[in-house]
Amino acid sequence: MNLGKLASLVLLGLLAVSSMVFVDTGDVAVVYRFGAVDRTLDAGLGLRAPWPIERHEVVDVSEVRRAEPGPRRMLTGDTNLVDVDLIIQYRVADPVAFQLGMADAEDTLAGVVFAVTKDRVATMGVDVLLTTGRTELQQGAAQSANELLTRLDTGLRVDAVEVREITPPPDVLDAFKDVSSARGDRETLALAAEAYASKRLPQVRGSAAEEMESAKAFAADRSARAAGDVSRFQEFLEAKRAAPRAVRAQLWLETARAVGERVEVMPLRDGTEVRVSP
Amino acid sequence: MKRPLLFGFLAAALVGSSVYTVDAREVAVVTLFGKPVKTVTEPGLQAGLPWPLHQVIRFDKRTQLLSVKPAEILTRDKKNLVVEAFLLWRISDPERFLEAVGSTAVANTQLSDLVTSRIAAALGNRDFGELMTTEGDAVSMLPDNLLNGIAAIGKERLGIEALDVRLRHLGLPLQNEQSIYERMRAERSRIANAYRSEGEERAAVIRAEADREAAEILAGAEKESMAIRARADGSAAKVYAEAYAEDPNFYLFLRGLQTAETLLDEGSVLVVDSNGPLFDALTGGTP
Repeated sequence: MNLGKLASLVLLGLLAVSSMVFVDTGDVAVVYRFGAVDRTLDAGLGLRAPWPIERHEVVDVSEVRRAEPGPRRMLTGDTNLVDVDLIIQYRVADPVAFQLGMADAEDTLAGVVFAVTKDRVATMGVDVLLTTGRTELQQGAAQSANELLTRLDTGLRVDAVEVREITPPPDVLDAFKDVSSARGDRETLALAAEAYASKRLPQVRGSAAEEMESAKAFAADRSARAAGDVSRFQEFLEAKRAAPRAVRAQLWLETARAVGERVEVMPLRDGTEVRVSP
Repeated sequence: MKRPLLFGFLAAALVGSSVYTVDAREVAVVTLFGKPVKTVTEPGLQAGLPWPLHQVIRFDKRTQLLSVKPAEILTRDKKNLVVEAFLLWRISDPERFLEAVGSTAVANTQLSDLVTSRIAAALGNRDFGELMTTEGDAVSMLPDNLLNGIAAIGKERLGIEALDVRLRHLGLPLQNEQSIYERMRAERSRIANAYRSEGEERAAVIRAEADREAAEILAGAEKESMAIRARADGSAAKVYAEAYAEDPNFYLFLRGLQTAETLLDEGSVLVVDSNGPLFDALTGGTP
């Protein structure tokens, strides 16, 4: 009797425990009754009928999942080749659709993202793709992928398609690197010319200023000399007015003496040289 | 005492084998002696005849991803392409599916061939250049009627619904990549050369501008300095002219002396008549 009581107690306990569903934050439990979806349970403690009437499956709807399908070679709109490496970030937006919609939801996701990315790459030029087009590619691919995923009722939603890397194939990488070094050369050449200009112009301004200063110095010298000459002339003129002949003779003699002291005098008589004893 | 137990057991087995569940992910076809009699598309608890009368055959009703293996195709302009397609499909007519195919794997095999040949036909109608363009929006490279064609055949022959067909990948055979590489290299070297020439041009312009500006500065300075010198000469001349006007003879006499003194510097040889007054004046004034 005691044993039977205990057995039924244990049975009841097991029943109660198997009827309780603990759902973590960020999860949703999908409850199936005889295989058909009956309801979903949000985070917290939920109840369901014991197996085999009901069962449940837990789906994480908050986690951002990542898929890294590896790089693929794609043709660009201008028939170049690029290697595109994608990271897909996605979430389960609809747990029921996620459970019932697709047999291989995540493979399908990667296929869809590659398909729309490839279509988009085929409309863009290689230069745009390698520089400014990355954002457009990412956003466009995410948007197109979401349209398709919604239409296919996959229950998945792409948060972001991230282009981890987009590069020319290794075989032609050197040619692309040469272009960026050529772009650098262009700047270098211009900078060297700028350096030349910024050295040349101050030099020239300097010599222009020198020229001006020497002209001004010349002018000052010229007018000072003229003033000096004239005032000297005025002095002599005044003296000469008092004694015209004497001043003239005196001045002439003084000059001759001053000159005679520093020049060699070669006397001539009737056209022939004569020796003069000092 | 033993009989009711046996009956009870048998009854339970009977009920158990005549009640079955269909999962939300499944559709079921019920056969009677191998002949389909009922299709169950709604999930849940179902009642039927006990085994071995009724047999329940279940299929996955979720959307299936068929990744078709890469195939080489030719465009209208005879360019080779490698395409990798995928088809999304699901069972729409379970009875037909059971009759015609029987399993997802068999369906995938048949659909693979269908998709490959349809894509080859569709792209064989288009030029390579039409597939790649930098103008216009991104659209699927496959024509809309491709899916319709596959869907019609799938529905009629296999009991499936084709939902979408896409190219996961479109590329070139390895040997054709080489020619693209050549072109890419040539294009890059053209761009690199253009950048370098552009740099040279810019540098030449900057240098020429600097040289012109320098020449302008120098010419301007020269012009102005010449003007200053000329003005100075002019005003000096005016000053001298005023002095000259006061006594032209004496002025010329004094200037003559000054000039002689300036001209005859150290080392000059002065040839003079030994009888003239200049000789005496030069040599000390003794007559």
